[in-house]
Amino acid sequence: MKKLIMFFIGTLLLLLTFVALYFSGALFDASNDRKIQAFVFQPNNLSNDRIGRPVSVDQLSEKFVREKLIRKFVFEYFYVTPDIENIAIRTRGDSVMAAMSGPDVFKEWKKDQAEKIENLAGKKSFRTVNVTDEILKKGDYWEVNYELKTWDEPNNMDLNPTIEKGTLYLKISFEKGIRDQRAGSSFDVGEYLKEGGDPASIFKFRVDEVRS
Amino acid sequence: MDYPGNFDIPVNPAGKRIAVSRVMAIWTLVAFLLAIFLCGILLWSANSERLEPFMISADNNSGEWKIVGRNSDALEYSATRTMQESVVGNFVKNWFKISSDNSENENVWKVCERNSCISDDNLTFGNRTCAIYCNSGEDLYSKFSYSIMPDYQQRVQKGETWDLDEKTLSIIPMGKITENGGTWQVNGTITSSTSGSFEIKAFLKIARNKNLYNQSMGFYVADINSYRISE
Repeated sequence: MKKLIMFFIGTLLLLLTFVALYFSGALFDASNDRKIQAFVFQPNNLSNDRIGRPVSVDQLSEKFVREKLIRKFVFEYFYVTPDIENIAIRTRGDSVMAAMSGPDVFKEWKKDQAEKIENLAGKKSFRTVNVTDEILKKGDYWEVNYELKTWDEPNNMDLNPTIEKGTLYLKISFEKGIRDQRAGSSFDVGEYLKEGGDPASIFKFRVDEVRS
Repeated sequence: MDYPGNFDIPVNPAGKRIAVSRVMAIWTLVAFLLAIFLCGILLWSANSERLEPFMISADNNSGEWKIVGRNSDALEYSATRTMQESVVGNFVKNWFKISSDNSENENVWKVCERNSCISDDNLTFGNRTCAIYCNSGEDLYSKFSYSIMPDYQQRVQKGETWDLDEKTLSIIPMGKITENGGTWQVNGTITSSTSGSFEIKAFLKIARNKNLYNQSMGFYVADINSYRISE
């Protein structure tokens, strides 16, 4: 009888080992975390919004990233949408503008530009920003020529935009790589992007001075 | 002492066998623990080796930066979000449509009783009766009737027609889209019978009132601001 019990216990142990093996295999599969990269076929002519071809590693130089970030900064500096909530979000301490500019620049922008943008948004105006020429370095500053197109009135299809041209001189600090800190505390890039954060905030880029 | 090899005491002749089984039990336990430990290590090493690359798409026209190809969750849309997109799509198709047949225009632009918006006749596919009124808030409709409709009527008198090319229509959410609405951006091309094709951009604010807009789960267009982008 005792031997029979021992035999059953042994069989049970063997079964348990197989179950453990099965679970560890399942865990191993789960740890691989295979994801299907979906390919979305767009039958419509959405070429404006279609994602372009990825930039090659050779092209993705420090100069390329810096130039893109300067363009992004100038865009954030001037653009207007007919939505008052948009400017409220942009003036917050955790906004892209705050992440891309030094404290003085952000303070000055809030004083000079944010109010103008808020007025335009209140009037339901719309403004696009375009950097027109190549961005060149002149001394300590980067020279950025821009063009602003402003539609002062909504829902008027006969209205042409007012075009305004100008130049900004930006003193920037930029290092290659991704931020590991933001506002003095540690910064988890993965989590930030998963939550829908703007990718422009993750680079070690800051505008320290703006002159016009 | 040589344990369990030399554990044969005369008092208990089974002593050695007991000792051997004890040693085997201990080693089996060690093997089990080792297997569990190795499973843990396997998991840890598989996780720690994984790279998480991300791809940034920078739109030169809108200046918007976003992560692409990584967020598979983005492909799962909730019913409320899909319904908002549908309300936006249908609304702009009616808003930017001027027909050569004025009675058809009047039918789309007129005011109905709110209750009739959910009547069987109005909900049939392709029925555009009161399409603007039934999907817009009171403020927006009064804006439409006072400042947009007179302009449209003038265009009709001049023989101008408008058609929004659905193939060019793109509807993009701006910021967070919640259960109670959000802001949407629409790009598209209008073909005018007198001034050719031109691109437009519109910003629509979607709000929710479950009592008045049953046909669309309560979603309606609270505001629309549109601009002619190309000449």
